[in-house]
Amino acid sequence: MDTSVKTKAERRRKWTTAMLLAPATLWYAVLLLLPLVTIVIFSFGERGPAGGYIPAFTFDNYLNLPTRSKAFFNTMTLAPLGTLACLLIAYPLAYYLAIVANKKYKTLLLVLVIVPFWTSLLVRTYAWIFILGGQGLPKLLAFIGFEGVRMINTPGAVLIGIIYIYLPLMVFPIYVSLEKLDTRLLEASSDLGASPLRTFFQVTLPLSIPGLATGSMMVFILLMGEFIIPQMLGGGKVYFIGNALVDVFLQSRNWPFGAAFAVSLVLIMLVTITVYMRYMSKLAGGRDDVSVM
Amino acid sequence: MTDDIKNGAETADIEFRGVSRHFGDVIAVNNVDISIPRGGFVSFLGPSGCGKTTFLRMIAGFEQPDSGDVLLRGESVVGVPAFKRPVNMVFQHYALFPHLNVADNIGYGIKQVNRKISKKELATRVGETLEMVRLPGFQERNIWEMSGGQQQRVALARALINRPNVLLLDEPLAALDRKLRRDMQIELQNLQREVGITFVLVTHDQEEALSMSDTVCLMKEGRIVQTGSPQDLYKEPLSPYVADFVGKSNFFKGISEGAGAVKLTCGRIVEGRAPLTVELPPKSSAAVVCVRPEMIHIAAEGNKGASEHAMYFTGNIVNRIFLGENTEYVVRIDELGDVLVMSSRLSEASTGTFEPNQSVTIGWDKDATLIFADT
Repeated sequence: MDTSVKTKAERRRKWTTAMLLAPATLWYAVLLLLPLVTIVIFSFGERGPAGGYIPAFTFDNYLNLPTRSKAFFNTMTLAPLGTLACLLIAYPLAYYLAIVANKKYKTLLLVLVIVPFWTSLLVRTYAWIFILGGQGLPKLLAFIGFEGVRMINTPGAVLIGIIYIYLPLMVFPIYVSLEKLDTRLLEASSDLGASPLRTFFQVTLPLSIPGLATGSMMVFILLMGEFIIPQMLGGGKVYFIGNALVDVFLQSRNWPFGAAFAVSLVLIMLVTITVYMRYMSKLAGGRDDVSVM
Repeated sequence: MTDDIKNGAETADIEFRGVSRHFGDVIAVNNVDISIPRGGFVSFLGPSGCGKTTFLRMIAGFEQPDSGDVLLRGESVVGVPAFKRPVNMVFQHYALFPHLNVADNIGYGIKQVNRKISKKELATRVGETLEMVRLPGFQERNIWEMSGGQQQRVALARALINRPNVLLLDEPLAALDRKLRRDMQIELQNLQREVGITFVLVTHDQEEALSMSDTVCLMKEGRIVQTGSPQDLYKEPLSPYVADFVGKSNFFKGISEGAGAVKLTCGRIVEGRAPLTVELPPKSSAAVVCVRPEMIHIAAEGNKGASEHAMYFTGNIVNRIFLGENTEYVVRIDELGDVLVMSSRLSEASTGTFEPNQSVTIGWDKDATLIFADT
């Protein structure tokens, strides 16, 4: 074979690969890495007299974080709790859609799961203010004898909002992994003497872990940065890290303190996600043929 | 009428009494009676859609009969779910658990039955079973790292570890290449003798059924049309359907002359016999004559040999298919149409090979001619 032809073809292939990767690389470099580095640098700086940033090197911003511990506490309890609640509600639903439901109605049912996405998030969350507010469910409860139940502006209200908004994001990945499940494996399990319940825990659940992990990750990551739902349904009383960020950056214009907030949020997510993924791939049997995300 | 495979068998391992199963308008299994004795190797053979898989799934407990009774060792199991039945199955594409390694796949069955089994005992049992299927030391392997043949053995081990009364095999060799399939056929036979339990095999591959089993049940449209040893099925088919499905056959139509003779449409009279348990078609009724291609002698025209047989015809070769151990010729005979003839290499040593368009004489004996009523 002519070597010059070979190297030419090789060079062209490398060029194509580089061109294909360029947009994504540029995107990550300019819009992710660069801002991230900026934020890290800002987090060690000082607030200017009129807000903004003055170059400095101090750990004060990080040492001041505990003054906002409530935001960390709310985020780090309600985000996992919301993820868990979504998981527990979504799994049976996905199971029904993938395995039990009649094929004829499957598409219709799947569309019904997506339909809420067709309306703006703000509008849907706003609707919950009325449902959970004084003229909504509490009034109904009072009518049947449970007086003085307060719903809006509580952690419970935020949790309800979270479940409502994030449920479809959990349903779909689980649905996909259950849909792919080979039903002969369930028959094999039954044939070998496992009851339907044991078959579920020994075959169905382990094989749907990739979907379960993907769904949990998507919901959890988005929840960690959530600020609209706590803002509207928590009424400023139940605020997340996201709300604190808005507050510190836009109201107090304390950029270095906000940057410290942002950096700590990234670090928390990095640690939790790594631990979680390790655990999940272990549960999935350590298979390297199955990517958990 | 119960179709007893062996008379005088003690309690049958599996018994079907008037079992039917429908799927909508389709009748998968139609009023089947059969009794399978303990310790045999039984095959259910038939084209796809003949109901053989449904039959197997009813034994396993994945399907329940619409009517009739299914008995395992004399006890009715109608309504008993699969996980409570003492039978195990080797699935068509093995259905091994992808999230478990070999040892966990094989040990799966024991853990369901005996939850308190010690790790040591479990490991011993798994090791023994792996030795039995000739995969010693494969415990820690992952399923996706194994070849089709190895996966097949794991599936066998997994199904055998609970020492079931009956092992069900659903087209177990379909995914293997030809050479491996041959080896596994022999191994399955040896394994069956070793463990001594009843093997029930479902297949559409006649070679598989004939080579492995003691008894073959040929199915057609949800019914069992013939039960017998592979030799019986091949040599004494009870109907043209059996003769056609098992092995290759030439069929010629005619009118029965009674007394073992048939007048073919061309006017020639052929003599033959009815299969052992079947009566000859009555005189003047429509009849079919069946001759196996390997029972037909072929020789160059004018050459003796073929023309010494009771029946002989002359025609031209239109096609030759070399199969290695045999050669198949399609011979066009004016009176009969195209006739398939098989010539072994041994006979070719004396007759030589034939070329397309060559004139040949073919002949066969009365004993090689089976006569059926044409229905």
